[in-house]
Amino acid sequence: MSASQIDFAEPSYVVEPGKLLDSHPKNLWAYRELFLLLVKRDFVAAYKQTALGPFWFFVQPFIASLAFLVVFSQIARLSTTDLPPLVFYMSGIIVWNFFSNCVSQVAYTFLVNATVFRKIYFPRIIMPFSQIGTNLLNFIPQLAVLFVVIGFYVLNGRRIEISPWLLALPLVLGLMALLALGLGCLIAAATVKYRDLTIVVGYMLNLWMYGSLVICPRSAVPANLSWLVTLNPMASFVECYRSSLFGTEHAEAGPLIIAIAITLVVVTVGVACFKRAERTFTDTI
Amino acid sequence: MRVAIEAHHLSKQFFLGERNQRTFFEGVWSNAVAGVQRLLQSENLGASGDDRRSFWALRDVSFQLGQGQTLAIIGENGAGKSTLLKILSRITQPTAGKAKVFGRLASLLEVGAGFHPEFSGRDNVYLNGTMLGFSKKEIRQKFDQIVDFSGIERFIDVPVKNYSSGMYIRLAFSVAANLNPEIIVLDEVIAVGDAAFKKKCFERVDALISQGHTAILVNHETSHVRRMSQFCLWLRKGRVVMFGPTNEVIPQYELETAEIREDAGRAPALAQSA
Repeated sequence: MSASQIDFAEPSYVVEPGKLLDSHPKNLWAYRELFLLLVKRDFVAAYKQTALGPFWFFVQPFIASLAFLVVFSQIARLSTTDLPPLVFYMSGIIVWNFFSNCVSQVAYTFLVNATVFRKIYFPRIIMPFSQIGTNLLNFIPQLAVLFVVIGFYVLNGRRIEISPWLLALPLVLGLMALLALGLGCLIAAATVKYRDLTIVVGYMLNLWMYGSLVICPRSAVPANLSWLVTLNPMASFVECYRSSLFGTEHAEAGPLIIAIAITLVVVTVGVACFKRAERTFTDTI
Repeated sequence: MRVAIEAHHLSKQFFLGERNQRTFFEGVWSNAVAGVQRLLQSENLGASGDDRRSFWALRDVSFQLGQGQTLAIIGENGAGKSTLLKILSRITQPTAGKAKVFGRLASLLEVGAGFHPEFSGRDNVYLNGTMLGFSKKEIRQKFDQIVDFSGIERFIDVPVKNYSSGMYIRLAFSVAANLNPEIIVLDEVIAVGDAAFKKKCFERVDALISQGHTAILVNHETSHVRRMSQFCLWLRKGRVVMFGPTNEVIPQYELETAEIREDAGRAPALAQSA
């Protein structure tokens, strides 16, 4: 859009109360290059700051999986279906980290970007989008490490089936990303008024993991608690994710439909609240 | 003549006080208490409470600026100058009123806000440019010009965290000044870098204005205003005192500020005699 391309019959933008500043998807599309640069920025920043760089991304899931192996598999004797416990836990941990990082980073949108938001206008929702993009990018090398671990087991004669359902993986990740976006936006909008909310979010995400089939399959959940898992969209998504990876667990349709419905509601409400908050947040933060 | 900015009755109300200092549970608790009170008593309780803690930073401001014209917004601290700019640049929305803006509006001094310390100068030029709404292609076309102007060619691939503050602000200014946004905003006096760079900034702004860019100057000395802008919008406590050609507004404004200075000068003398 150079000077010559500007349509002077129509204003480039109108400011008025109550109007969502950029409700047109076309406006958002114009900022796609900013989205890509922000993803690059966060990716570069995350790797450059640490002494060992990307090393941590690979070590963390290992350490967490080993801890789970001891506690849940060796001591609590929880089932891990036909999968080796290490593969079961690691696959769960990396995908949960992806989800929980998305939620908590999106939740901090207004607090972290306050200075930029106070000086330059661009559609604020680009920031949450870029956070999710960065986390997807970070997830790929972790998934690669998981496949290396699987390869190690296969070489040692363990049978781990990879089915064509693997192609459904992006879809499952997309659903998780949507849920994280909606939830993160909802919390971000609330942080404009209540700044301490982000602390609670950290605790809640930690607790939430234990009810999300990260540490055990649905079959190991006690009957009196199964309703909790059914109503938890992440439980269903984690189950679908594992069944698309290995085909050992079969995801149930009922909970999946509930999960998708909840996700759609959360993302609609979350993004609407976010857009409401972005209009005046600079007045209060 | 084509219009660049059209503002109709812009007003902005701010709420003061504890509202945003509350924690989540305090907030929920006081909302619940207020709700119960409203149920028990009259409905207007909440509204009157809000009035006491709010003020109008901008009240009923209307003006029109044509393409290629220069407007100076003048007034004392708290007149509502920055609030008006924030509304026009979509940082916050007005409480009432409406404004139409034709073209991209960019402040020449505040763009460095989007810089990331780990990114090189080159990457930051692109990051900042895209934040301002320019495409990568447009930025690429102007890239050499931006770097030349900033005078930091040798360091363009160094992360900006290693820049001196002078280098940092020169690059920031250069991005916005060379990407040619249709409407440029010069908030505060253009005091960037050393004397030589300052001179360059002034020349650049003059060039942009003579090339037909619309410009808004804020908080400049009246000598700058006289030289650079055709129109003046004089604000006081959020309201328009005068809007019109510079040569009509500035004499009045100077008269009043001179009076204020005189008053201020007299005050200590009185204190001494007492």
